[in-house]
Amino acid sequence: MRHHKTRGGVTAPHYKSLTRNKATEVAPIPHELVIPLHMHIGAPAVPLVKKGDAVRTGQLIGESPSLISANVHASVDGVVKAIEKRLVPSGANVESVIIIPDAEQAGAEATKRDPATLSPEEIVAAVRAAGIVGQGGAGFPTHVKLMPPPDAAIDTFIVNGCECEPYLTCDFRSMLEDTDLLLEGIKLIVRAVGAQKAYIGIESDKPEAAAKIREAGAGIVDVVVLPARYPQGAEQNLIRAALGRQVPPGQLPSSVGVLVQNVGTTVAIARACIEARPSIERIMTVSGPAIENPKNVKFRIGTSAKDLIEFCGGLKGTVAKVVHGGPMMGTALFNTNVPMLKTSSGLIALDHSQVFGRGAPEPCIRCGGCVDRCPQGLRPLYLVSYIEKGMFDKAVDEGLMRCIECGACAYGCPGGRPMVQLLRYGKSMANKQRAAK
Amino acid sequence: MSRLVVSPSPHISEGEDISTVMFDVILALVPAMLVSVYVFGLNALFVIAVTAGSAMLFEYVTRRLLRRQTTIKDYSALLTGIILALNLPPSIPWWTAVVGSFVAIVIAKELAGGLGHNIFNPAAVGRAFLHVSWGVAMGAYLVPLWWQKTGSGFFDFAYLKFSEGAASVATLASGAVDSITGATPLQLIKPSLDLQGEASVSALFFGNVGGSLGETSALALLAGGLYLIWRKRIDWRVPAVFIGTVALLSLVLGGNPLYHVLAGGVMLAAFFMLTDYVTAPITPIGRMVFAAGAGVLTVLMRFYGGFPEGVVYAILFMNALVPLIDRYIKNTSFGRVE
Repeated sequence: MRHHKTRGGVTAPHYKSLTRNKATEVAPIPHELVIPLHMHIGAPAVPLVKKGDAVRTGQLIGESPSLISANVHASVDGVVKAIEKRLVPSGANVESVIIIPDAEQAGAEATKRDPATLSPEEIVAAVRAAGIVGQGGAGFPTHVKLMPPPDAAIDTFIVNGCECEPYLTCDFRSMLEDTDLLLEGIKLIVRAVGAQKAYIGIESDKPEAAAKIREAGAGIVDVVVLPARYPQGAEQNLIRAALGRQVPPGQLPSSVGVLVQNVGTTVAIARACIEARPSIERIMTVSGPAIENPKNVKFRIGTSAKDLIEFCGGLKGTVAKVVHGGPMMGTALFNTNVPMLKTSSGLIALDHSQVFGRGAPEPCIRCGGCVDRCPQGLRPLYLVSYIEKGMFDKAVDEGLMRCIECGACAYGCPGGRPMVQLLRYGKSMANKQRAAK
Repeated sequence: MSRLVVSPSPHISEGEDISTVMFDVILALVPAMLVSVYVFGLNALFVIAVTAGSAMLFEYVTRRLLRRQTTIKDYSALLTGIILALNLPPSIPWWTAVVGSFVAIVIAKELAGGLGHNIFNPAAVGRAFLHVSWGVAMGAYLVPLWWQKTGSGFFDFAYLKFSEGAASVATLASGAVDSITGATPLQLIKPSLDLQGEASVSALFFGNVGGSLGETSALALLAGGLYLIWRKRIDWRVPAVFIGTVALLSLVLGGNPLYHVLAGGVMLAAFFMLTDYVTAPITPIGRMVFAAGAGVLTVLMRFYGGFPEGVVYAILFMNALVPLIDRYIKNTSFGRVE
């Protein structure tokens, strides 16, 4: 199926050859798991266990107190060592359940349900019970997305198989290795929201995935091949490119009748409905020039970045940065002793030349490259100029709040200007000023 | 474990800086510079060197005096100097070229706020200033390969020939000075100058005509321009719309469109001056409006204005309108609702 015109973006070297053809490996259970009770958008989960309790794999250890929240489960069989605040990748200290795994792991009980027998309400309930949140990185509670308000009915479901960030290949591997579950998940989601049509957006650098799903998914989902440009996987871009629909500023995709889910989330939904398997593990890509053996790794939620890096042979060379997530929008870690979460899609170790290759920022030469690259149709150089001068209201009028912080502007800026940093600063100042009024 | 760097996203970049961009443009001007040296002798190289060198010197000294960081390494002053040199006649006295550099760098660029802040194209300002201040020196043009007719040949210095007092443009243009001067293609077709003859289109294309250093070989400039478009350094819409407007309007007004596109400063302006990032609009549609306006003004000045060539003034006029263009033309594509 042909796609609609896309706007902006960068065609960056994607370095996916480091891991795209490596089958997913299962990481060993580490000696300690730190499971934060808040790794999603919404209210933190309330702990149900206390120090000394024995827990089973898949046991509910944190309950969601409200609709916009998520359940948290034990990823292993073990004993609760403590419930205390621990450092998480964002740099915050979050209340977490620390579990010491048992030497012998019995694993979760395997159950099997026929997905065809589940009603929409049962599907949503299963997803909610499983504590599934968006695996693309935002971590929005998925069950809420599956319950759109009555005035915003969903007619089209799109699976986000773009994976536009460089280095990341976990979704690609999942599309190849978990194809059956992915298709089951698509069918379940379509039934849950009452959609009429399902598409999967796949970037052109993943032809094997497109071919496999086209063949196996005939009648279930239509494959839309999209240009391999970052940030093609950004929700609004994806909807625009696949369907030609524009989500109005400040609104959700449901306002145009669309639901978008990440590949990993869709597979997790299938597992939750069919096997009653809660959100206790996921796949991530550990890669970068400073990793000894780049891999796609399936790990239990709560495993530390340090353990996963060790599993991949450790850091090598002149490592300068370890990024949690993708290199365009991820967070740089200062300490790898942080737990990997439901939303952790990658660990990218960058070396000296990539981090220090550039000198100090230079003045803006108005080259207009950022304007060409912005997927939201903004004029970043003016936004940044207003923000630098403290004119936050003017920046908001210029469209600051529509910025998705993708970093395409900064990526190709000849002056090496810290655009995303200034845009984020501008947004927080604009919000503060508004709150103060 | 070694210490890890923490800084905001994005964590990778294309790895370019301003000097990379500027260098590409300088590279694109090499064919034009080589042609100018062939057509006008070593004298041309001298003019380029003096102009570019003084431009860099002025930038360095001015920034030191204003207590700003040194920016010579970003090659922007070098580029401005080269473009200004290409706008000057080969017979220009070296000190006149230095004054042009001063106006371009110190007044039009640094005192306007430095790189990124100037409204007017510095090279265009320099050239315009010299044009109104030393009109005769700026209007005296050597014939191509003039050095083949002189005693010292390739190593001859042209301005020394003219330093014995001023002569009128018509005298110089009619070749009265040692038959090494002649009218430029545009001077030839200017009705008010009442001169005979016309340059051939092939001469205009390959460079066998008189004019400023950068006004001779359309081929060399085109090659450089296409290189820049291929490298995505310049927006193809600017030369396309500018050249198209010049051709169309000159045709409508009864001139020869090909002649007008290839003669004078149109090619240089199309690929290297109207495409200057700092002084042009930042949206594709804005740039097209900018280029079209420059094209209209260029042709009107050539046909009805006082000078044979008006490209530089067209550039400056449109530069002044850029803030207005950028205010009203946002980043929309045709037909897209934003």
